[in-house]
Amino acid sequence: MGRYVTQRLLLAGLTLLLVSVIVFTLLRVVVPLVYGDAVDIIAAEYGGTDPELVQQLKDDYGLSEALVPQYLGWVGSILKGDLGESLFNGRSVAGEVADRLPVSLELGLVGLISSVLFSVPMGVAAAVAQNRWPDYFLRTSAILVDSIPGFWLAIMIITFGSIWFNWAPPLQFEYLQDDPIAHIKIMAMPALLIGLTPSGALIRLVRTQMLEVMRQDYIRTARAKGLTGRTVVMAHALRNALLPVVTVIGLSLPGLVAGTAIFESIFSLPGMGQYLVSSVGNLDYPVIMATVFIFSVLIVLSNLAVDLSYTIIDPRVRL
Amino acid sequence: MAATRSGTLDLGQGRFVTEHALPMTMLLRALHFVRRQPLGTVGFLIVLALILAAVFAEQVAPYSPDKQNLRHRLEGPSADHWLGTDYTGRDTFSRLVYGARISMMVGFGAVVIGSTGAAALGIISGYLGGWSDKIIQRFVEAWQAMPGLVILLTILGIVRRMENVNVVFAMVLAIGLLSIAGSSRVIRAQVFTIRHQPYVEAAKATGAGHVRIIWYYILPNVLPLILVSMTVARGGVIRAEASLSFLGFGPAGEPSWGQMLSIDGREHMRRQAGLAIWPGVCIALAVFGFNIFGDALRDTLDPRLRQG
Repeated sequence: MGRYVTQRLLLAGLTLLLVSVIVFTLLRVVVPLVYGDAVDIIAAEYGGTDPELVQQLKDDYGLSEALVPQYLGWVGSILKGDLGESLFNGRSVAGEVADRLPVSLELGLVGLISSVLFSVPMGVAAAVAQNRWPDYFLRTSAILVDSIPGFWLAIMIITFGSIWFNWAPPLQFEYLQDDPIAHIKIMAMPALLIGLTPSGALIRLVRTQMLEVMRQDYIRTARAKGLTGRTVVMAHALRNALLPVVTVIGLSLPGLVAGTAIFESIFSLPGMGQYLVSSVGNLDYPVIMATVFIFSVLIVLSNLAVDLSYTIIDPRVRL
Repeated sequence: MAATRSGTLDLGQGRFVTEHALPMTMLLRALHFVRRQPLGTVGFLIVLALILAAVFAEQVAPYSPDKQNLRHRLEGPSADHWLGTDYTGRDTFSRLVYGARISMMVGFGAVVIGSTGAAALGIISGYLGGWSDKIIQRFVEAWQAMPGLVILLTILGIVRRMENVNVVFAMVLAIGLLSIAGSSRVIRAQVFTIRHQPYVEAAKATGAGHVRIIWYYILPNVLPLILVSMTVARGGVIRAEASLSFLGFGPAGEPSWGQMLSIDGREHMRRQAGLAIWPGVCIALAVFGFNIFGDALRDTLDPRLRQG
């Protein structure tokens, strides 16, 4: 088991290294090549084409060095926890991220947890009632939920909430530590909507996995021993059926957190997605690179968590 | 279900009849699909309708999508304007029909790029094996660890500032390239299982070169998988396009479903709810059509599910 864990950790580290190279190449090599250097753009926007000023700016931001030292410098400062400064307002990216990442993580996590709490029982119910009306109903709804874009649902709720009940989502954001009740009021709706998107696929997955497992010999044995239907389904079938489900849950978390960008813009929440959207608009390179890299770290970490959780759920992996 | 469906028999007949009546065989197969997969057929018809709407938008749409009519602003459905009008009096139905263009262009373009790339990468990595495979797979993992939407926002944010680049084309390319990594792994796994099959070994023994082996022996065996991944991916691609346009990173000037739902129009939705309803219905319908058609196609074509 120790060997498996070390191997996974090393691979995760290697992946992050490659990601950092790709992100750096994309934003510091490809973009300047096809479009232009950040500093030239800023200088042009302030009307200054003074070559000395441009050079001064480049020196300030460490852009006049060769690419390899630039890359090493970037990685080095990330390792020290320094994500650089915004080119536009000079604010520290790390400080901004410290405020914003919890908001996005909260949205993604609450969404995911509510999605799992909702989908697993639904999937089990559909499997237990295979080819009877609850099954048909749940399968049809799952396909529908799968096709409906979450952001459209959010717009529908806001539009009709305002037409029918004169309701609108709160405009003023409150942090959890400042005003817990107002915070929950603000976050509940977007978090639940974020959770709805993966629910359709999850219900279908749980259902097929349950059906697959229910056909196994050990389930027949369990029934033959005289165990009640509930014990068989919950203790014997569900635990085995959940293995691939854990994978899908873990893999969908980063997408959820990144996808919060849309909901953050609809409900005007100060999260990472909103930060990225405004920085992309300004071509704020340090912010874009840091955000992309942070999201990648998140993805690699949740993949790692999935791999490691196997050792707990499925004892066979430990061998 | 596959055992009674005589997939192999069909295949045998198909091969035998090929020289004489290919259209006939294809028709029979199509009928077979319709009977076995009624839901998949519905999906296919939805997809077909959307493609036709996109191709013949000029003929289908009663108005030009940009024609403003300030006397008829924010109207409800009527005989003149089937789905009402927006805040500058543009016909909602016509805009939706033209919106199908971008959706389908991105849907098909990105998927063609994604699948071709995935097939090439998966086959090369799986066929080479060994160290080259290990190195390629590490890169594929890093590629998959890139946050898709975030990268797309970044790329399109930059492309939109450039004057001589077509945003739709950039969107197609970016979404396509991003989707390569995921599906290449499925194809690589399949290539891994076939590359040591006796018929591949036999071909090698007769002196066939690598290109010949890949083209005649490997590719035909992963083709169904490629086809399936193409159809299944399309729903997600259409949703990605809608999300990007919604956030304001889509092509400006051309109507698209996501952009119709975006913030610019939101204050008017309160007065004319149709503006909030119909574009979303179109997105959902397109994704739904591709999803159920893709599912049915997978049931029919995926060799791993045939034996199930």
